[in-house]
Amino acid sequence: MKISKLKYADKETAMADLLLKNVYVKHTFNDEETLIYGEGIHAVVEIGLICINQPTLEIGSIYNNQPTLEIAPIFTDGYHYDVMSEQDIDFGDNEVVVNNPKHSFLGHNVITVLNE
Amino acid sequence: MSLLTKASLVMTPNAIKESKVYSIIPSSGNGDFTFTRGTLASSTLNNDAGLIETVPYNLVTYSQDYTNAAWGKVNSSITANSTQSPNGTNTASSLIENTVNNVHYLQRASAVFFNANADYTFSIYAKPNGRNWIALQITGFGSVYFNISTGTIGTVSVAAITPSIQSVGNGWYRCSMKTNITVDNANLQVFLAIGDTIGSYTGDGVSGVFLWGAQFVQGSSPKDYFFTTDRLNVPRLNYDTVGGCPSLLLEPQRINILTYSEQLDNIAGWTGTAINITANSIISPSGVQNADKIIPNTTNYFHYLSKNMITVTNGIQYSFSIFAKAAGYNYLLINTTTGTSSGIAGPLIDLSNGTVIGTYGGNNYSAKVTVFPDNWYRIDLLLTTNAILLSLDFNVFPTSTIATFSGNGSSGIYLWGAQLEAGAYPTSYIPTVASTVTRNGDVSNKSGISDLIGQTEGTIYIEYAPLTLSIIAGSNIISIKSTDNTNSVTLFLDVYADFPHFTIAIFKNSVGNYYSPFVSIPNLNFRKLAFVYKSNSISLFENGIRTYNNNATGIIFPFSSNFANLFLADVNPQGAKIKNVQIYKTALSDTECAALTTL
Repeated sequence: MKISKLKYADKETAMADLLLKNVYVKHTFNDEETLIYGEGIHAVVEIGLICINQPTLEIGSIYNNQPTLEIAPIFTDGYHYDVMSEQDIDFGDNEVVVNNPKHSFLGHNVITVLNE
Repeated sequence: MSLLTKASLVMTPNAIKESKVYSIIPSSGNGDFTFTRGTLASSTLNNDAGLIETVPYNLVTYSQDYTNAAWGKVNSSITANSTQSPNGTNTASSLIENTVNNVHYLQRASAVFFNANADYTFSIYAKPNGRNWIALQITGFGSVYFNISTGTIGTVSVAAITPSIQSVGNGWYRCSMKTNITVDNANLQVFLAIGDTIGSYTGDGVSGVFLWGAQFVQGSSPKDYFFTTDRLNVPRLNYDTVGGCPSLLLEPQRINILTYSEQLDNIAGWTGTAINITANSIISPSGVQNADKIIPNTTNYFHYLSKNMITVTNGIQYSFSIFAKAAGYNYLLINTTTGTSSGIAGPLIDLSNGTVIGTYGGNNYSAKVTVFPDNWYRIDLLLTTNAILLSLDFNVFPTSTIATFSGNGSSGIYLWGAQLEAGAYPTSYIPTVASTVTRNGDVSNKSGISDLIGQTEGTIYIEYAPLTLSIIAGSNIISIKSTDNTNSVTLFLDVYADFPHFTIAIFKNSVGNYYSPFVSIPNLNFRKLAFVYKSNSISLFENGIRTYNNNATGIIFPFSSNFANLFLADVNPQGAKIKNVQIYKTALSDTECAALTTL
């Protein structure tokens, strides 16, 4: 099983590439089109924007019905996905290596260490 | 004559192992369902112990494959499949010492502890093969010597260890040690020995012991042995009633986006206002003392724990859930800054009896409470976001009407297991630490069974309960398909016409037709469903009643391609509990279908 951590310019670019590589495939059922996983795909996780600071509200503002940002969020550039697949998929430059992952699959971070 | 004698496949989820759900018919194993998830999962409320535990409970991977690199061999070697194991298969390994003058042992390094500060039990089956003694050790927590020739316990290194040895026949003993683990990582070791406390010696290169069935579990008993490989694809059996029949739980993929879901005192994940937090204050619904206590301080103010500014997707539904228990104060207000209201706006829960007694701000977000053992409650609510950031507060109230007060510095509320997941209903708990965590969707199917499926006519039966009625269109329940997927017969949940109902889809050469009684599904109860297909006829039975029948000439069988594969909840899965699946190669009569589906 392979876990690919992906970064795209935006969601639209990501979806186009994931469809192109058959990570998602279109499925028409009862005249409605949905996206389902392609062959060998176990999970696609839309992480989206990644916030790298801790935004805060002004203390007490939510209790005055006026929630006010004290520290605004700062997002990294890019739109992020994690893909778990049976096969190797060449995502090119969109595949990234991260040192401090914001997302994991339940049991996989531990299992990876144990099996090394 | 029982209808079952006509069935070509019957699956009742009573017996499972990794990657497999066993079928009763056929008994050859040809009808056993495959199961994949690709991640761990948590049990739900009604496991046999009533606890939220990791599935599978055996925390050791490759529990009887010691040739795997996960197991280290120190001054020793492993030969797989050396002799008959306690279960009668030739799967026991031999651990053989080398000739050095030192310790000789098998080691499972960095064993997985999901919860520190809890009792754990390490066990393994052993039988002499030249050596009569072994020692079990959990590094940092002590060791125990066992004589596996006489079935006696030798020296125990520390009093905190509770050892046991049990004969299981044919010269095999199950040796175990229980102790309290206070760290999140340690090694599990099995030493060869030539006597009590004599674990370091010059080996002869040929002697050793047979080993099989290593298990490491949370709790004070070794539990029934559960065979593992990578642990990632274990089906979950769910019990809705004590002593009842289990159902196969199939949940969709979900991600818990709340970090430090159990460590509410972690300032990287949570913020406290006018409160103190006592970590690991009481036993949580997992059976471990890892639930935190939220204690209002003496300041005359609001007292709340916050998860601030969580990044979410705007305009979709999220399900939030948390376990709570009274600890001197009974009232918990869950407040969120999303939706149409803000301020003190959310459901107020009375933790003395687990009821939603009202709201502050006029929105209870469809709050529901599920009762857990020992006065714990799982509270869940449904939010619709209106921004890309969301905050959640957990306010402690001394009464149902007082929000600002001076705490006494000791009373509070216990909290554990916070979860926020995109979706219209909460799923089983997904523990997190520093990152968000995904539990993959459960997938179960059976391929290559064209000989078990009626090609020109047939009957498909399923006893099933949905996990939600807030479904998206075309959520498959059960389906038979040709190998190229161009031909299929599928029972699915649909919301066409804006209410949930069952529909049968028949695809021939990728062109579909749909047949439905358009009867709204009123609840999440189990129901017995059967659909019959044959040339120019399709029928659906539910709980003993034929709810749909169509004999139009457009319903044509046979198809050009064989039905070869059976799928459970494979497309747009919205979750299901399944107690029974049966396939018949013939179109059962109306009378037979009514009898088959009668509750």
